[in-house]
Amino acid sequence: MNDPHGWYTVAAILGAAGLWMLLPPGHGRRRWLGALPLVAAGGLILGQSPWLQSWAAELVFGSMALVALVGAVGTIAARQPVYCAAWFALSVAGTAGLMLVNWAELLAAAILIVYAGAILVMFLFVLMLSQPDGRAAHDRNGWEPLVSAATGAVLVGVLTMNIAAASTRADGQFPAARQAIHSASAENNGTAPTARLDATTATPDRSAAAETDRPNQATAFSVARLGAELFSRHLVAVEVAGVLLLVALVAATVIIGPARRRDPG
Amino acid sequence: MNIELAWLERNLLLGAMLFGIGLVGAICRRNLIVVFLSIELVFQGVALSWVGWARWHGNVDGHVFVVFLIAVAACEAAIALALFVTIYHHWGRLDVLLGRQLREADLPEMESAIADDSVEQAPAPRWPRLPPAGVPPQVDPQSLNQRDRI
Repeated sequence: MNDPHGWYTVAAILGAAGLWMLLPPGHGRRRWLGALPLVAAGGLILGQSPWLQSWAAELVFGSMALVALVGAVGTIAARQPVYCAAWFALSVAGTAGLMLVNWAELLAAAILIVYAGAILVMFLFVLMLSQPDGRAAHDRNGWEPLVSAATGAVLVGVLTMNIAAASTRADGQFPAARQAIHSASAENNGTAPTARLDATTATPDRSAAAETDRPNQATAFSVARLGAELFSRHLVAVEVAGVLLLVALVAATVIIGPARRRDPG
Repeated sequence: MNIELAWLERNLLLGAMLFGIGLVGAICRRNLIVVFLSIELVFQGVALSWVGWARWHGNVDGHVFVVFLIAVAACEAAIALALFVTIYHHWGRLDVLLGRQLREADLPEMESAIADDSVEQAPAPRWPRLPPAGVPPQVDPQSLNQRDRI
């Protein structure tokens, strides 16, 4: 089977079988055997993808991807909601590591602080209010695990096949496509309002960033550059997001607030 | 294959897998909190794809998207937690199937293979049994509202 589509199909079927075994209600202790086909599926999908050209990059990416995927599967497979939250924190750590590898330092920190720090701790408070021990029927029973695993397998299978095919297509015309992208972004850079800010935030020009040498690439994604973009081109959106957060705060207070007294006397 | 293209493909593949796992959890799990965590997994898959595209294009537009994604996720968490606390006060559990009660009174209940909750129940914890002796204690009516009595 030299056709990569065949391997992606096999991976999707294996992943569906593994998830079906792991998801509640499952088959008692034997449900953890479902981890084996899942590992095989993840290995097949990532093994088909191109080589990162250095063992160090492969090692870092592979370990972070493993942490993120294992945490994700544990989140949806664990019976006790507290364990779900702990697995989710592990998955967030893996994702933050991947963002760090992809030069998104601020986002790695933000996703750790916001998800693992704030949202997860709030959820643990709510979990302490409700049944934390996982003995409730709705923790031990699933809603159509076979159908949902098959749905996820179809989605992941189609996505991975399309990504791989598009990547293979792009590889043939790579220099031209890449050149077009970066000449276009260099033009935008000249006319965008960030150009003034760029001069003061020690940002290199885009053509230098287009090369694959690491120091230039790291500074192209610097936090200063992200801040300059956020507060110039996306200033209105930032303000709207602030208003949205305020509205959410007020709404949560109203939803959870004390019952109003209808009679004034 | 060029290394940046390889990184883009890796990031997109991993984002797709995280998205799929989160989707499966959101469909299958019945605890509202776990469903919410699954949706956050979907968000993480999308965020990873955006970061991968930002790396490929050499600009920070994808990072900007992720910043707004985090803001929206925080809003969603606030609203969801308020709703969960309200639902728990109202019904006493955080089960997705409670949504079946949101129907007209003369309509039949939705059919499902697992709606009878008879598949697997956890063994209850074994408490020591003591012989009755002395005066029976007065039950505090306030304690009947506590968690393990509901």
